[in-house]
Amino acid sequence: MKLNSLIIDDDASFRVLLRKMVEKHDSLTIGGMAENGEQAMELLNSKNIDLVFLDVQMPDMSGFDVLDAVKNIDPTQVIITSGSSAHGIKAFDYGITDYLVKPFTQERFEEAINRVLRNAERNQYTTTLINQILGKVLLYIHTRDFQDFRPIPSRESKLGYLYPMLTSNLDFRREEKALDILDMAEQEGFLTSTYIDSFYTCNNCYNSYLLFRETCPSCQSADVESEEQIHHFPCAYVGPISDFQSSSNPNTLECPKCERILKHIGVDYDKPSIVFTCKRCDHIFQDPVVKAKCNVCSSDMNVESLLKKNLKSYQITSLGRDAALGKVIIDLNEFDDMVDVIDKEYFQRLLSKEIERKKEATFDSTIASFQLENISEIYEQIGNQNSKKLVREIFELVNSEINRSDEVVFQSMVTIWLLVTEKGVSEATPVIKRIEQRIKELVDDNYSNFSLSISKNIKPVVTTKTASEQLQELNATLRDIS
Amino acid sequence: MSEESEVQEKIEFDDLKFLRFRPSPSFNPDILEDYDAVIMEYLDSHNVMEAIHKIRSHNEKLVYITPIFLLNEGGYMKDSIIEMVDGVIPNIMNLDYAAATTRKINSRL
Repeated sequence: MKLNSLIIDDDASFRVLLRKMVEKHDSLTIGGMAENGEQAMELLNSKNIDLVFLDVQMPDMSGFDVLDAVKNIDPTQVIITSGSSAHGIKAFDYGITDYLVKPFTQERFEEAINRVLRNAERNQYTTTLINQILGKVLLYIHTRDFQDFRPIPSRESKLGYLYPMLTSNLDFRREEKALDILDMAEQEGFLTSTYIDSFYTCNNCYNSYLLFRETCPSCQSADVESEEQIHHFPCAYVGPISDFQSSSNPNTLECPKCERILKHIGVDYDKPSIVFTCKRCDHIFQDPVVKAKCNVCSSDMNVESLLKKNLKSYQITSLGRDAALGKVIIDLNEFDDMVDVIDKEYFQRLLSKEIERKKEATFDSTIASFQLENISEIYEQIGNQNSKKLVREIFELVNSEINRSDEVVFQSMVTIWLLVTEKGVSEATPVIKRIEQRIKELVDDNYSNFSLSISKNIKPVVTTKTASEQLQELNATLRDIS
Repeated sequence: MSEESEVQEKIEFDDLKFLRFRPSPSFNPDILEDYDAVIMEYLDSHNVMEAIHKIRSHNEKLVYITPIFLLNEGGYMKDSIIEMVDGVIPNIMNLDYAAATTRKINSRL
């Protein structure tokens, strides 16, 4: 990926210096240079610019005036370059990606470019790839003249169902996005839908291969036995069927209280319920806790916490046909803005870099994870879209609490990973505790009669283990806590 | 020459060009730009599915939209795979159905 860059600065010598840095960088090209706001706006309105180096103080207008005036600048494409740090807060309020105080080092320049590249990669994924995939799907439906674009049951698919063309364009870890893409296409009027069925997925990894079993409400063991319960009408004795079975003839039921032989169900006895006995703790109960264990990530959750998905067939609209043939532009810009929030691969890469950095210099860093243990109850109540909004709110809240060099992502809808750079565990712990408290306040204040349970884990970043190993340990401990 | 290229065969039927091939892990879908449709031999479901994914996830329209037919001369076929393709051909000597379907798909591009 190459970013077409625009340098806006009234200082001619700085423009030359920055131009050289841009030209040397493998991922950047020069798309233009402007020495004042007016020239900048002209270039921004006439060229495709991916990255803007923007000076704050210029003779005719400020950099912020430029941002206000040119509506097609995405702040994530902007790096502010300024002689002082005085405008930092305002600049970040605008949502810019980085703020370089002149003079800056090559290393600091690289860091800023990497941030922009990451944003660009993510944006490219959301806007380009997703739109391309939908375009392919619409063209596929149109050329095949499908009246109904139906899901196909498939053992190999993450969701247990696949949609021709669509699923082929999503790698396994993102297969669940298929449903989101179709939902968005429906919202945009490219498709209509017909409900087929519902199914449930793991709330951690979205896999639908779940192993269900009844567990003891007392000790959570799945080693439970169930028996029919019998109510004998004449003497009113109620007990498990084993009480009525004689060892000599298990097919004959004899009441242990009145010793009569039970003959006709519905006449002299009935079977009103099932009774469970835990073989681990001997607890006898009638309402077991039904749990689902994900066959892929091993998360073990109450079935109430599973994510419900609706399975639909889709019908292409005339707008969808026009989009398929390129007569209408597909622009699902609003599609899954969660890609920058839920991205464990990105975090893993970041941690790998941090480990490499630690090998080169002496400093401490810390990783932490928060598990929002019961937040699935809220998700279930508020639905998919609102759940995403809540996750984004939490993400933004955490971001506001950390330094620019720190990073936060949601590993899943229930687990947050945090990297606190250049702080050891003892120094990072107060920050992490404050974040925990803020998340709890945010959720509890917005959802009455709900108290968010959070478990957290904090570990130092070490150079002796890979990023993957350290993240596994971080999560493994969490599961134990939960 | 790779193994799968040895079992590739170009079939011309009326004005259409079909590629008949046996799916293998080294299958490269780029070649499909020169064909109107493909006919895959159904020997094992895994390789067939992988080949379908490779074709459908290709960036070139002429490749990803290519009609796909399965050649099955009697063995068991997974329903889920049959539903992923544009048809099943029981006999390579009779391509009327495949040709008609291909023409219909291509006419809608």
